[in-house]
Amino acid sequence: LSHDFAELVQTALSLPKVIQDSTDWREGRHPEYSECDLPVFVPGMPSLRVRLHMTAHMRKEPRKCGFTLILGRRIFSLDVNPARIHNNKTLAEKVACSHWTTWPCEVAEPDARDLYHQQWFGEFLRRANTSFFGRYDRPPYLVEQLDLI
Amino acid sequence: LSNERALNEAFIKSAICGMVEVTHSNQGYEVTLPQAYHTGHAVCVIVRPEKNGYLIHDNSYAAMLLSDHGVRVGKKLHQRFAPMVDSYGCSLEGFRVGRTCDSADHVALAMALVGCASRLIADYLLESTPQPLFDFRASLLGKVTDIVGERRVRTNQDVTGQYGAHYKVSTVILDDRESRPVAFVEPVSDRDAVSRRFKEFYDIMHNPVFEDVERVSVLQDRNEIAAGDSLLLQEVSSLVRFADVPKRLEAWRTVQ
Repeated sequence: LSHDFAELVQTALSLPKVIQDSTDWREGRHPEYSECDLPVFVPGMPSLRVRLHMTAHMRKEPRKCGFTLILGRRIFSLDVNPARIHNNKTLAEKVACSHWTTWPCEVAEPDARDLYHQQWFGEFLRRANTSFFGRYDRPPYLVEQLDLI
Repeated sequence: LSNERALNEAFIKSAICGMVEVTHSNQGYEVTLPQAYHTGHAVCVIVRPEKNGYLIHDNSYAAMLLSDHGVRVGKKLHQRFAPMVDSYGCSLEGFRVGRTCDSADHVALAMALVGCASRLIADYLLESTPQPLFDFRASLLGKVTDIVGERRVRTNQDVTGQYGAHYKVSTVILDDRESRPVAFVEPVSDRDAVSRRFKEFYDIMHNPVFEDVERVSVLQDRNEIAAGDSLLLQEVSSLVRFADVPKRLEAWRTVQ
């Protein structure tokens, strides 16, 4: 089954994909970060259920955000300013900067660039072979109020 | 053994301490703990001074990790995790795991406890089931289109019930002249869909405008629904398994 799934992931990633909807950020029950879901249509395999899920921390600097392509589970992702070290499963490498992972998402590929959210969004779409026809809005951000003594 | 010689109390303590990193951020001190989520990410907490002591929290990173894996982080999960997080002496505000302490001497233990409770939330990924890979509605539409031809298929059509309620019928098959509908076809992917489809078809079947239009509920092959639910759907529609759709649709291929 995992072999079949790996093949399906490869097919889904290589086929051209389309997003028609616009970004719509919501907070839900987690006031620290907002998220946004966009359905992804795969014209070459229309029954595939793919979506792009984005998260963005609303208080942390530098701004932490995530882009994830989901096909049943996480198959391709970009973790920007992760605020935590990713220990690759081989334990041979630690990645502390922004990084990309592809199914099975065990090895992080570092990307040290410093880009705006919209630029990362564009990079993610390009690498995911996805065209975006919706309206882009940047995620909300709140200034942290420290309760100092 | 040479490996054994390298291992001593000082080495182990130093190795663990070497995993800890502290940086100052706009939110306070960000501390990387010698703990890891099962995804390989190190557990990280924020420490900041408050009026009456210190606040230690995980900045909702565990919840964000769940979200980043497509898990819906909402009320149900909050109800599930709140007592578990509480057993670590921490609280769950929104989805932020936190703990306060009044003395700097207690900050280290508080960080360890917040880290453990945070990891507990992230571990939910190990038991959550993957979402469906295929969209049943899209699969059904593909099959209908293959059989009767794209020309005679319409999707998401507005249909009115007997008292004026509106429904979006996902697949409508038209006659050969494309002048009137001959069938409304709806997917029933699971038990939750039964009541919705029953209401829709019950209402539509009592609208005289659509009395000649056949109503078809298509069940996903691998999902079993209770006999009672099947009988309910049969009262308002023809019930067909997905595998039997080609046979059933052959009848409409030649409808004029």
